[in-house]
Amino acid sequence: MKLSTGDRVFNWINIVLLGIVALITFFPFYYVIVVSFTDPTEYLRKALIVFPEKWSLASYEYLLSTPFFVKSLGSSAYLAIVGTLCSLAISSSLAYCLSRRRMRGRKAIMLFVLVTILFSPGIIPNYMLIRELHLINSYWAIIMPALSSGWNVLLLKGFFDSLPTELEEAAAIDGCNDISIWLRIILPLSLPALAAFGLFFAVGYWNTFFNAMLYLTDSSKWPVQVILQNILINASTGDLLSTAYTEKPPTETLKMAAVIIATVPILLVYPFLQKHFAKGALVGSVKG
Amino acid sequence: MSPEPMDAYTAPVQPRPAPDQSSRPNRRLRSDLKRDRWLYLLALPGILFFIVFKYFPMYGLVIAFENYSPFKGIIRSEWVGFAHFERFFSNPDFLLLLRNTMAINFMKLFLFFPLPILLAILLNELRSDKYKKLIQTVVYLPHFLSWVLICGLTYLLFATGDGFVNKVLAELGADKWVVLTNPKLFWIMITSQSIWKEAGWGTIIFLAAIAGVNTQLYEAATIDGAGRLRRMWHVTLPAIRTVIVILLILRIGEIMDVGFEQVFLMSNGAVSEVADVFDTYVYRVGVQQGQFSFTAAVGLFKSIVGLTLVLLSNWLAKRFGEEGVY
Amino acid sequence: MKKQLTIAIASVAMLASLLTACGGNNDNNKAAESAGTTTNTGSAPASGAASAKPLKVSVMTQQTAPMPPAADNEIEKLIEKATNTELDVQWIPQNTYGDKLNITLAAGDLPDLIFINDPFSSVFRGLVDQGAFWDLSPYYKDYPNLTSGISETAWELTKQADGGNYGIPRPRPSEGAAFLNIRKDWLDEVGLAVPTTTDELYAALKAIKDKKGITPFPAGVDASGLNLGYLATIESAFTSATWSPSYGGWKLADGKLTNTAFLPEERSAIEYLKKLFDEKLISEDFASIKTDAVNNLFKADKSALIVEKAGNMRNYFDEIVKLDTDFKETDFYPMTTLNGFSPRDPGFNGLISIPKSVSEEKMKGILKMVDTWMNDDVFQYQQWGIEGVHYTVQDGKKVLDTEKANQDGISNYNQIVYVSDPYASSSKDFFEPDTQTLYKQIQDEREKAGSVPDYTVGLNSPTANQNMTEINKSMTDLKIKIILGSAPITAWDDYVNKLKSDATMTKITEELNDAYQKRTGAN
Repeated sequence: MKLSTGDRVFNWINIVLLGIVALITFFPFYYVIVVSFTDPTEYLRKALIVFPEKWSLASYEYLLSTPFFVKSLGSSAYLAIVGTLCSLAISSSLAYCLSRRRMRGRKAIMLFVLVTILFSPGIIPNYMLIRELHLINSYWAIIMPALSSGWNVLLLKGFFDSLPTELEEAAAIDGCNDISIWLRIILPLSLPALAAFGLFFAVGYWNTFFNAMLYLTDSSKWPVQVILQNILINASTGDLLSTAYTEKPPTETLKMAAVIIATVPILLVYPFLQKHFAKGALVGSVKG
Repeated sequence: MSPEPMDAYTAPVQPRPAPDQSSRPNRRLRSDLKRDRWLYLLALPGILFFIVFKYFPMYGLVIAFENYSPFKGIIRSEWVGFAHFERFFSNPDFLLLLRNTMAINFMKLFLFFPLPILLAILLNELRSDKYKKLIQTVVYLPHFLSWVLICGLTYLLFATGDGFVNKVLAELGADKWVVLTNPKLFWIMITSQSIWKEAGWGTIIFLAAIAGVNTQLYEAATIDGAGRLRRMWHVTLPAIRTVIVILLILRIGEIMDVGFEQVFLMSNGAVSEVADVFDTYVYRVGVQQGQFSFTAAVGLFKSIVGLTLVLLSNWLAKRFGEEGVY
Repeated sequence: MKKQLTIAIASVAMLASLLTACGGNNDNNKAAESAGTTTNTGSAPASGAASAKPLKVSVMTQQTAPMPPAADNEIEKLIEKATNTELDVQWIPQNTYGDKLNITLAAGDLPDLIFINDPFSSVFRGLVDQGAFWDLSPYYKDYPNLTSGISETAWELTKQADGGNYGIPRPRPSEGAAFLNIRKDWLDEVGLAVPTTTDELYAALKAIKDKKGITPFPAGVDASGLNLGYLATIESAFTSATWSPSYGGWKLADGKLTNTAFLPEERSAIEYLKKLFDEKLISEDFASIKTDAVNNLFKADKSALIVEKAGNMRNYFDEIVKLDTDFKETDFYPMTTLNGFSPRDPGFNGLISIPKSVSEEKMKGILKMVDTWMNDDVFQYQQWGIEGVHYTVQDGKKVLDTEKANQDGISNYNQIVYVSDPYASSSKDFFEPDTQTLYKQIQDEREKAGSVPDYTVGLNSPTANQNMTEINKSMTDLKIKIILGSAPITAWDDYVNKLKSDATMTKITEELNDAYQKRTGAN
């Protein structure tokens, strides 16, 4: 297909514009990476580090030699994988049902779901619920309350709304029930949406910090964010307790290295999901 | 642009005819339920989730009307009716808090909200797949950095003394640009920070929606001689309209919420008359003082305002022929 | 609609059984714990009880080191063995301890021994009123270390409204509070002595700025926005009142407490700070800069004055010496007093409390545990760790491997039981001998000159609990604006005049004074 001049101008403007946007948004991350590899003294000496003179791996070596830190990555991965799968199942099944206009009572259920976005009962009743369910110190205490949210259900429903109904009707004629239609037809057709929401859930679980601190009483079960927060916001108590040594607050370079180690694993998920955002995932199945 | 060709390119949204409720409604209902039994079974786990984890704990909202004492528990705590609400509304700074909260949220609504949509559409128009993937991967990165880091970076860039920007300005012989302690710039600074951190992340949902667009529609549009912008306007945008409307309505419901951490980190004595919002006030007066009931009362107030706005905007959306949230 | 309701009710019932079944897998040894409680030593505290079954004690406390100690690590085992207990410690990162504590208290499942970070918070006070914790005053005197190792003042100040001691105060040194430290080498360069008055301080900062071309005192306002942070120390030098984190500035004169806002000295302090700001002696960004950044500037050899405990010197020295090899330890020079003022710490940091759900016998067992733990031979485990692992003995002196100690988080055990060394805030064993002598001497001089405590510690004013935060906030905001020049100093006079006739403020003053009279009268 031949491009018109207007199209070509548009393309170039678009490429340059998005390039600039990317540079601006990349800066914070770049800065964190660079500082994490900088020598602590150099960091103190300079106001803004654009490129380190002396590279140092010390921060990474220190963190990776700490058993707790490495172990916590495992906990986070467990939470993210198990949690995401469960969340997708619960949320997409409900969202799919709500997108079927023939379902009686769907409006009431949607309102019922919507209200939960706006009203939050506060931490204490939630804590008591988790305790009554005997989930304290279990990973399920983190996963179960986060299995779904009104926001996710209503948006997913928006996606299912736009699916064509023909396929489903055909399947119904073939004698499939709603559950198998959902499993065999709807889910495979909704990969872009599932990828997007899977990412939201995974990132949500990966970043769980407060609930993990609250519910996991055994610190060896902590996910990485709890450890990270403790390194990042290590406000000194003002206590100087030992006469043998003074606790040094973590250096800025160590903090940044901790940020990188705690963030990179979840970043790696994106490229795998990205292909599902590619154009035209629907076409093949509709045609075929 | 003329509205005529629009219908030709939009995804087929065909509302099913409403169930006929004229004759013998009870039997009709029963047969409908029987027909859809598998559907209800499929919805059941989700509904149960909402009942147990979202509705059951709502009894906790009662403490907004009590002097909640942990030891006495929710049932036996002293009932004070609307006392906490009165205290909150009669606070001389109430209007100031309301103004600041609304101002920041309106700025975010008008400046921040449309950006991820625009960004997603532009990304979709990139021809090179590799470049597209690269840009996509980069723009969503700052989402993963905490507000502490983003605010720290803002400080490095904009500090009056030796911030990067002011150093450059000094080199050029220009006047200093006071940002961090300037009340006039506070709202826009907060909004810009949010855009910086979250705009790229916000594109994901729109990209997913665009990915669902039937490519035949694009082909049809091209054959009809529609140019780039027209295709974006008439194919891409309508296809993601449902998602935009839902997000917009939900966003309006959060109009009383301001990202607490960000505002807390960026506010200082010089800007507090524009920076103090409900969330920071409640943090100081309620959360830090362990005043559970007062905190709950403010939360309930915010929820009710949010719900009212959502219902209102949903009604409006339906008046304009949109699907809405429910 | 009715149908939906029945379905809903039925499903709740169903789910409840489903979920409990699910949760049953998770080991919850609460029951086992409480079963183990009654079996143990209620015996006289003096008896060794080595043969008795170990006492199971669950503990919740904060974790200050970056890493929590591993459960059942060697240090914990040694402590357990020495105290004949089985510890189950829940470590909570300190930056969220307040939240976690509030929720735990509110939800009512309390461990056997719990760290109360603020003994005067309304939540803890409320629980004490309702009898949720053991009053230890009839018991603690039976345990020698609890009286000899913890000061009388600490026990006195942590009494609740009814005069009871609802927890063991965690002892801390009271002298050696965070105060101004100045770069002595730079003072020598400009030929000035260590300042003793605010005028001399001004002269010193000005001379250093001219000589070095730096901002000598970057300062930085407290993150809470409730006080002027580092600059509050300068205010205190004017008003001779130590800032209270909960109630703000209160000066004691002739047995009466007065809010510092009403003192003419406060106005002078603001004018003085404005002068420092106008002449760029404090940072242009003092209103927005964070304390971390301020401390880093000092480490980077870019500032001359810092508010810090002298005992933290090495954190700065180690960095500065890399950039300025002539820098000596004593060049980090703690100022003795400023205008005759120096602050004093309260001598404790929170309480460790025992809830009433613990039996009397077990409560005594826990007191016994703390008592034994405070013995030198037990306490040294968390100070030094294990020989060959955390420290080595060289020339008869113990040398700590700080990296290893940090990594294992052994110092976290100080957050449960601690034995206070009176000089711990000022001096450390690994400082040069000359430095140790100097710092200790400075601490003694401060004590002799009459360091000023925060007199409001332990006082209760319900009106202040509800309103003081907002008053402090608006007051601090105004001070900042005046210093920055965006409000005139007359705005302060207007503010103070309004505050004088403010009913809430009058009531707070009355309540605090009543509480103070009651306490001093009782003595």
